[in-house]
Amino acid sequence: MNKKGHAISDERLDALLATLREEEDEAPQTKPPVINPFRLEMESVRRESRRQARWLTAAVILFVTLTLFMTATAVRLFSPRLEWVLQSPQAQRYMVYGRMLIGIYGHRMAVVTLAALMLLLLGHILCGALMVKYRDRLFPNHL
Amino acid sequence: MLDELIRQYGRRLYGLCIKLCGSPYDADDLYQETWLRVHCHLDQYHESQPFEHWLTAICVNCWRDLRRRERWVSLLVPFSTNEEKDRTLASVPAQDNAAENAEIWDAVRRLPEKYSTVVILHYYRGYDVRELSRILKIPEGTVKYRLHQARELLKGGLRDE
Repeated sequence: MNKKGHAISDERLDALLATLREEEDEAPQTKPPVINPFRLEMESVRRESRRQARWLTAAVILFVTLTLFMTATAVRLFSPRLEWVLQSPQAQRYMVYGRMLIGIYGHRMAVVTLAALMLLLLGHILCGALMVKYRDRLFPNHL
Repeated sequence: MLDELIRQYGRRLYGLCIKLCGSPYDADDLYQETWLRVHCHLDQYHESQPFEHWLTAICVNCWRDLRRRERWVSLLVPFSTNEEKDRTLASVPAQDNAAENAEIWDAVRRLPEKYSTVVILHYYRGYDVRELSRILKIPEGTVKYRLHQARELLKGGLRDE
C-alpha cells in the first residue's frame, strides 16, 4: 500500500468500495473448473475410513483401560506393600477412587478377575490377529 | 442433484472464490473443496435458510482452512531469500492487476482474514449485516464492528498522493 500522502476520506473510500460490488451479469474471466468425480469418490472413501478409524480408536481406548485395570488388579494381588502405599496420607488424598476400586476385590475374587482379564487379553490378541489376516474383507474401503 | 446445484450456483461461487483467493489457481482448489463439502454434508442443509447462504458459509470456512494450511506449508517452502520468493510470486500473473479497482482489491486482501471476509461479503456480494451474521455465525454487533474496523484499516492503508 502506498504510504505517501494522507489517509483517504470516507467519501473516497465509499466510492472505492462501491467499485467492488458484483454486477448481476458478472462472470469470472475463466470458467469454473469441472468437479472431478474421482475426488468425490475419494471423499466418500475417506469418510468411510474415518468412521472405521473412530471404531478403532474406541477399541484402543477400551483395550488400554482394561490393561490398566488388569495391572491394578495384579498389583493388588502381588504387592503386599500396596496396603502401605494406599494407607499413606497422599494416597488417601489422591488415590481414593483407585483405592475404592481395588478395595472391592477380595483375594479370591481378584484371582478370578485376573484370570478373566487374561482370557480377555488373549481374546484381544486373537481377534487382532484375525482382523489383520482378514482386513481386506473387513475394511474393503480402507486405503 | 449436485450437478443441478453446480449449474445454478457454480459461476457465482467461482466468482467469490476468485475474489477471496485473488488467484485463479487457489480459486480452483477452493471451488472444488467447497463442492466436495457440499456433497458430503448436503443432508445437513436446512431449507430454513437460503441455499446460497449455506454455500457461502461453506466456501468461507473452506477458505479459512486452506489459508490455515498454507500458513503451515509456507514454513516449509524452500525459498532461501525473500527476494527469491517475491520474484517467484511476481512471475504468476494476477488476474485483477489489469482491473481499474485493483488497488482497493489489493488493500482488501491485505486486511486480516476476519476483516477481509466481511468486506468481501458485504461490499462485493451485497449481504447485509443480518445476513452476514447468519452466514458467519457471529453476532450482528461483531459484524458491524468488523466492518468499521476494516474501513478504518482501509482508510489508513489507502492514501492519497
